[in-house]
Amino acid sequence: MLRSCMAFAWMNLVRADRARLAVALAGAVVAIFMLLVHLAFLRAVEHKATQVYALFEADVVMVSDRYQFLYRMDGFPAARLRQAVSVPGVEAAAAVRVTASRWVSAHNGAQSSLLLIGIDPDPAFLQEPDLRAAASELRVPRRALFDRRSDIEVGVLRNGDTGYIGVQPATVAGSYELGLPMYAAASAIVANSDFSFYTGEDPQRMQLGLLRLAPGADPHEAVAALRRALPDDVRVMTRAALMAQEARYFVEVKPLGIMMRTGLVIGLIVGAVALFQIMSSQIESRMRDFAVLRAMGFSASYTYSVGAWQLLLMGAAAFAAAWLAAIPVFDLVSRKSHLFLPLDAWLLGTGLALCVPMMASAALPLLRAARAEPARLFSAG
Amino acid sequence: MTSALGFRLFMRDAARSALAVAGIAVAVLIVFVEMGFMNGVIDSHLRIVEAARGDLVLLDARRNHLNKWDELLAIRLPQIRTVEGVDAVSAVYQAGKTFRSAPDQPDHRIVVIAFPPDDPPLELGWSEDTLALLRRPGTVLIDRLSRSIYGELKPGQDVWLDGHLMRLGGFVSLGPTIVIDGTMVMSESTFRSLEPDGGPEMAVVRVAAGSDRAQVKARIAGLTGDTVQVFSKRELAERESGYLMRVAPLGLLFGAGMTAGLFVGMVICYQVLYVAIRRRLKAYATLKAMGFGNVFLLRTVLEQAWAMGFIGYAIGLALAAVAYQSLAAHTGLLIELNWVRCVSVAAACLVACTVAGAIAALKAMRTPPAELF
Repeated sequence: MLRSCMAFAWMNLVRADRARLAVALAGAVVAIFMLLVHLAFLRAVEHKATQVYALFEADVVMVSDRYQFLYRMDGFPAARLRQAVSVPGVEAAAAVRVTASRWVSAHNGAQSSLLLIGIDPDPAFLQEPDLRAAASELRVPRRALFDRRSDIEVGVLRNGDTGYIGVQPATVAGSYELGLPMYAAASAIVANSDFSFYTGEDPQRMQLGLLRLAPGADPHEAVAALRRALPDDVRVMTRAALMAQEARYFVEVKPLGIMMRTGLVIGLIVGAVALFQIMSSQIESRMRDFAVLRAMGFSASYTYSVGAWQLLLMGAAAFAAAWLAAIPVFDLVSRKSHLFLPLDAWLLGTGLALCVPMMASAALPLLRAARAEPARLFSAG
Repeated sequence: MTSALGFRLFMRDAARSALAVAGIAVAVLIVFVEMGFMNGVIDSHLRIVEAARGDLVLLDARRNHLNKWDELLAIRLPQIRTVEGVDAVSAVYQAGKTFRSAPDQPDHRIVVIAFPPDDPPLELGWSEDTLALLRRPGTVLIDRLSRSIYGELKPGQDVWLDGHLMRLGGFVSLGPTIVIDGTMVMSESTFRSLEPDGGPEMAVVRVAAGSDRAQVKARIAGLTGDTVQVFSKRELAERESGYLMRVAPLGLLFGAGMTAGLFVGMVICYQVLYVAIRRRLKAYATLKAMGFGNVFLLRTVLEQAWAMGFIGYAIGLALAAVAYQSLAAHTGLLIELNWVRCVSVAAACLVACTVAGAIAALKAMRTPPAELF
């Protein structure tokens, strides 16, 4: 039964007016492609906004109460970190400092804006694999790790290259993968012990506190305990909450969210219209066949399933074509714009889920197929 | 008499025509909205260029787009003032600052723009009052179009910039971009109290009456060599929109949307016409049997397509005008209609309806009169 439905659906498609089928399918492909582009772009923005926090491994983080987003990060007293370690459930803490600086190449004197990050070279608090591996290099003073995804104007930096961070000399000792073009042309990581040397900033202040909890400790309880224990010049939250807040700034305060969601809705409407139109014309042209089937004793549910299979086959073909089209386009765009646009399981799942209402509305013409009456065979037209 | 057959059919099939018109109106709305977003991103970014009150804009050679803030050397301004044909040179300073509207309010990043207040190099909707306020030390003006994160602000209230207490004098109009959420304007001397060092980010040059702009531009370029870039406003606007199209996948994001919108319009128009033709196939066959040619049939169908397209476009345009106001209010971006945009969407709509009509007409044209029997 199932196989006969599928085969029937397939034959219907193969025998259909090819040009009409192709045009309507092309419309569905454009719509699904648009859906994928907007989904991927929305996620790329969120990813970019939170990427810097993904460098670090921490259950709970501390920021200043005046925190807005990464680049406008006010400091808080480093003493808060020591206070935090004394709170039950907190096992260890590390400080991160962030500021805007400048990189001057010793090779050609070219200057670029630099986001300078100071860390404790303790691999336990680092998540990015290259950074973990290279962190021990920072135990030697005046060494810095550089972002491989820096702007082209910065040029390629190799280990041993020298230059100036601000006005103080630094040697490149390794690299990691970040890429934050919306903040600065380049980013670099130095040890916290060198941070004030390069920036002249108060070593008693820091921008981000990383806390590791004792095994088995509940992060939400720990956050509550830390909030009770610490003065209100710091805000304590889980790392995930900070990342969500950061993403929210870019997606909600900036108009990116509304733009991307509009695009998604348009993609859905267009896809539904394209599939609806092809379904209704296919059913229209097969009404006699359906009537013959009914006359032969096949049930209405049989005609439903033939139509449903037809729709599924077309939807799957359109989705596959859109996905294939996205592969080279995403690759090109991510190389040109530093946006991270992976075609992964998340995109596949979310894309397919969004196609469900699209397919459902395109299934409406099926109701007509079920109304096919044998008696119609003998009526005119 | 026969020429109006298409329009008459359009009127007669009122329900179906209304469906097509509604579909085309939605399609036109989609195209306008996607186009509005794309132009909104670019136009908002260009607002500061458009606001320049002068003929030439000077930027540091390293400032290869306006979201980068490399400074000009301060000495360049007096140097350029000496160039023959230069009437006036005015500095524009820009800096990102932390804004707080009250001691217990959260901080928000704001962009500060400063310049000598006597002859503002930017047109920001000045009045005598706001210009007088600008001259007052420690008084700032805020862009009334800034995003709502800064809260309700009243003239005369205190505000804090990087912890410095300032007085809010009044309002100007510029508007945010994708990157900038809000702008604050102050005089050069107030700015110096926040940032004692550093050169301007931009200089606006007014060319003396009777001097040739291109020549003045060449003279300035000759004097400053490759440390400074000199643009006319138009050249800078072109460079900046090129930059935006390059770094952000605007064309991909919104181009796909516009294509999809057009496609929807075409499909709906085609579908309605196709069904209408199928239903009147005998009538069309009769016409052919009576000796009317394919050109006549095509014209009849196209008339219906154009009628649908025309009314659909008009409704879509009206919807877009409403949508643009709400989108502009929500995003803070400069999203507006102009003649070029209206006409180009109208042209795209006409083409789409013609194609849809022509494909649908093939059905009628291929019908042999024998079909009657």
